[in-house]
Amino acid sequence: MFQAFGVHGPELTPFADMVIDVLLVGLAFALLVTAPRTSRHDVYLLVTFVAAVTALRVLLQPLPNVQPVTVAALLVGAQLGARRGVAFAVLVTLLSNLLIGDGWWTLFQAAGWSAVAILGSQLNLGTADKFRSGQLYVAAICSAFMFDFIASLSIVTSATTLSDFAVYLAHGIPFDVLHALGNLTFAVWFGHFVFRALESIDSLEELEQSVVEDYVVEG
Amino acid sequence: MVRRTVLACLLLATLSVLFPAQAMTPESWKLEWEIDLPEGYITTHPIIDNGSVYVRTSGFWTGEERPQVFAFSTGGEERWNRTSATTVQHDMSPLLLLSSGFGPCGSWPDLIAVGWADGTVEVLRADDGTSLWNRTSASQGWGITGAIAQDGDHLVVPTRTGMMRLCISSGEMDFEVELGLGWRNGILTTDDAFWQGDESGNIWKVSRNGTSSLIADLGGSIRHAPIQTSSGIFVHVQRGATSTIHLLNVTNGSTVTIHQGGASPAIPISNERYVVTGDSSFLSIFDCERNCSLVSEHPTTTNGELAWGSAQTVWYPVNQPNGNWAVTTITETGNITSTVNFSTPHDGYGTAAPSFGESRIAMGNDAGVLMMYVQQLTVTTDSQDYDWVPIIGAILLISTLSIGAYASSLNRNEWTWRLVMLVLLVSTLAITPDLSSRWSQSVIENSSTDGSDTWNETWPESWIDTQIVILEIDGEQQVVGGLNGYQTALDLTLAAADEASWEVNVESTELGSYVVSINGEEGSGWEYFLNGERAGQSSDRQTVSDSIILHWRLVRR
Repeated sequence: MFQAFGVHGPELTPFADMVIDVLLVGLAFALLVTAPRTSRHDVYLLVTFVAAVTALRVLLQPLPNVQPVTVAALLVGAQLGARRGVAFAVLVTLLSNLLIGDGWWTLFQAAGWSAVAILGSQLNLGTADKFRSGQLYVAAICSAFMFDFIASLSIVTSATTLSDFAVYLAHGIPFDVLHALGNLTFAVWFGHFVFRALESIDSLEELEQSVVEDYVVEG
Repeated sequence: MVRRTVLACLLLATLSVLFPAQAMTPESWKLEWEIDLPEGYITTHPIIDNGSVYVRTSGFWTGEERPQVFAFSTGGEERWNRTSATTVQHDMSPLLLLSSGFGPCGSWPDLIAVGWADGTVEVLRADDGTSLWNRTSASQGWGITGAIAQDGDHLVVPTRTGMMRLCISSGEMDFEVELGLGWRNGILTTDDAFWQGDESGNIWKVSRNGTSSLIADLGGSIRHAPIQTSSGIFVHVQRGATSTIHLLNVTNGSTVTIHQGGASPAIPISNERYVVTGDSSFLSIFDCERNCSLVSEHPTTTNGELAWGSAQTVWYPVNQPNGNWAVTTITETGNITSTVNFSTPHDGYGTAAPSFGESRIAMGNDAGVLMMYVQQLTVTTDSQDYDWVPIIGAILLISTLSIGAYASSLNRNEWTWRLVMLVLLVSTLAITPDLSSRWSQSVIENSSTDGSDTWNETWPESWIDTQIVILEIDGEQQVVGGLNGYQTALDLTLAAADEASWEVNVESTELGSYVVSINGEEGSGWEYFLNGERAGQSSDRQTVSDSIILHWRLVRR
């Protein structure tokens, strides 16, 4: 959970920072590379979306715990599937943290938004014409608390007791609520629009399915 | 229907949050008349009463000009004046209006009590300015410079060397006591005693039979009447280029330092809950229902008198070359919401607060011009410094909600919800700093704390029930204990740092002050614990008790 004034975890050496970043980039590309038949158009669209959300996160950084990435990760997960969702979450986290502050917490934020993307992949939001907004709103609220919890794990050290952590989480509740409210606002304003925009990219799962179907048809 | 009801509630809620703060701004005032008084400053507030306005000039300490007291009608006609031929020093004891009354030592008409800088206290008839009686006290360079207090049918006068109590009707002396040398040091009267500070920072208690005792030695200089609050006696001590604010426990005489302020303190004022102080840096509001903790500050320079214009507005002279008067509005929770300048044709240095009568304000400053303003004719306020952000914010939010309501009427419900969510988010963002601060305080208070977990048996016993600060870097600890009276974790930290010569680097942000480094160590951050429990808000907002172990720990791996 968000702590206004505290620490996000251990201090890393520049080398350790670099190792984490390289691992995360590697993970993101591994997830994307394993995608069959990703068209150039799809890549451009996804990269554009990563850049836009990164810019939005940096712009909104002065607002405490208003996180546009969360709803974006949910929608990418829902439309493009878990693998592209996780890749998206990792890339946005890395890029935006390069601008607003990189460190140990990057690992946990990436994990948090990846979890949100996986949650999104389990949603059935319908189609652009029959968009199930209610499901998105509920997921937007839940994902705020889920992300904040995972990100909060970054403060845990060997000296942290369960009671310490519980108090830490309790302090962050107003900011969790703010995160949820921000998510709901993003979902209400842009949920349908983003969902429709992402619909033009086939999810990996859909692509795999179509490949299988092609083989079946050809066979 | 439901949507409209929700929107109406949101509208009302927004209005109630944003508008009360602005509703207390000064009304429109028109300068009705002004009179340029003879040589000298107006350094203390005039008095408006019963169709008259009374004012004193300070006189100069060179030449032939002498200080005077004037009475004018509220229409500006001079009724009488009184000059002290023997006063050759600056006069700054405020006039005291004594409404007609009676008591065991006699009866008296409406009077004006005047303390002169030559040591004379004189009581004048309010109707014609003739002297009812006068009495001389010691003068060492200065005579009477502090505020005289009324104690039933007696006056309690701060003399240069102490205090005396006189019968109002006759001037007969009840007692006179020698205390420390005083300057501008008024007197607090309580049920059982009188309290006075002096130029050496001593706080004296004088019982009603004239027995005096030294209660506390705070150092510095106490240049105002101590203030009685529910948390103790409040004193603002002047010290060189700074000042400190203390609370005195009247039952055991112990004192705690609650705040460090700027130079040249003003004379603080209080109401039932809040004490307002001023200095060369800030106007500050302290909540004395919460151990006189600092609630809010406004940057300004005010070194003289402050005055309540209403229950929630404080008026004060801005003591600068082009200084005007300023009006600061505070909420019921003590937060400052706006400050408006009140300009006059004679802006400049000033230390005198305005005086309020029915629809009238009388004011004067170092220019020596008495000005009478009447209400609600022409706006003369200078609103350059007016804080328009809340009002613009309220208008934007209300407009947004109105558009949402309109969209709802057109069955564009998706736009209604978008706008409602936007308003909710913005409103929540606006209250988050205050809300999170209070929430964290509540979490701390409700967390189980066990100070014995962190008490170290090797510490001196004299540190028990005091404030202790631990600084831990890479497992090595430095400890400072025996501290008292600090109200916030940051103040306590800085006090410990001062004692142990730690270098603390603090950065201010919207959400409070953030300790960036201590002794040059930044690590990945500093975290702090109170009696073993992790704190959850910035250290400047975290209040601490008188018995606390504050533990700062550098985090890195």
